[in-house]
Amino acid sequence: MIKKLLFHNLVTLFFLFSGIVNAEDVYVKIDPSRLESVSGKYLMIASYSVILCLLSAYFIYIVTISKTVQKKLDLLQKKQNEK
Amino acid sequence: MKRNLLLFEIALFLSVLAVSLYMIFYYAPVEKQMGIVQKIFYFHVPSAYSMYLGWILCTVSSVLYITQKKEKFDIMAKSSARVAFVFAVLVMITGPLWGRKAWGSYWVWDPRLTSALLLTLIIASYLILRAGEKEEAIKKFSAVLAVIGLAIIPIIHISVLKWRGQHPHLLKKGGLEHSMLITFVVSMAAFTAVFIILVHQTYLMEKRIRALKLKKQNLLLNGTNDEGHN
Repeated sequence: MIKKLLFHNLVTLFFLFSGIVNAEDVYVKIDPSRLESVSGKYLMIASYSVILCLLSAYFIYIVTISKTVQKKLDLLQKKQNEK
Repeated sequence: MKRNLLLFEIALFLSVLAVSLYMIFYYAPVEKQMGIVQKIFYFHVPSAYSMYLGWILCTVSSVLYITQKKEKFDIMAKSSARVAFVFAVLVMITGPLWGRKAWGSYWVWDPRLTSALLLTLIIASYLILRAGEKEEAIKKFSAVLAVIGLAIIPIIHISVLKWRGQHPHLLKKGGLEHSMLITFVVSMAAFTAVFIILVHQTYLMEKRIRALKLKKQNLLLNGTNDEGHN
C-alpha cells in the first residue's frame, strides 16, 4: 500500500517536472505571446503540487510505519502474555 | 484516544492546506511585475521557515539530550531533523522553480541560496550519521553536530541584508499589499500546523520503533536465559 502510494507520488512528480521543462519550448513554438502566462502558471502549479505530493507522501509513510510497528509491538506483548 | 488524535491530525493537515490553497489561488491578487509565478512565495517562504523551525527544535532537543541524558530528547531531535529535511527539500525545489521565471535560470550562486543549500546538506549529514544510532557516542556526536549546525541559520537570514545577492527581501515594512499579507500569514500558520503534525507523528513513529527494538532485545535475552536455566 505504502509503496504504491509513494510510487504514484513519484510518477506524478516526474510528469510535473517533465511538463515544466518542456512547457516553455512547446508554447514558444505554438504561440510566443502566451509564454509569459502559461509558463508562470505551470511553474506555480508544479510548485504547489510538489509540496502537496511530498508532504502527503511523508505523512502517509510515517503513519503507516508507525501503525505497522505498533501492530508488531502488540503481537509481541500478546506472545509474552501467553508465555 | 490515539486513533481520534490521528484522525484529528489528518483532518487538520488536509484542511489547513486546503485553506492556504484557496487563499493563494483565489484571494491573493496577481502581482503586477512578476505575474502569477509570484504566488510561489506563499509556500516557498513558509517551507523555509518550517525548515528553520525544525533545525532549531533539533538543536534545542540536542542540547537537552546532552545535559539531561533523557531518551525522549534524542527522539525529538531526530524527528525534528527528519521533518526539517522534508521542508529543506521543498525549499530547494520551489526556489529554483521561482528562480527560473524571475532570473531565467534554476540556480544562481547567490549567498542566500548557497547558505540554504549548506543547511540542507548539514541536515542530510546529520540524518546519515543518525542511521547508525546503536552507539551512545553517535547520539552525542550528532547532538553536537546539530548545535554547531545552528550557526548557519543567522547566516542565511542576514545574507540578503549584508551581501548583495539576487534573492529578494520582501518582508520589510510596507513590502506586501494587505490581502497578500493576510494570505502570507495564513500560509505561515498552515505550514506551522503541518510542521507540528509531522513532528508529532514522526516522534510517535521513532518512539514505537525504539520500543520494538528494546522488546525484541529483551525477548532474546530472556530466551537465552531460559535456555541457560534448562
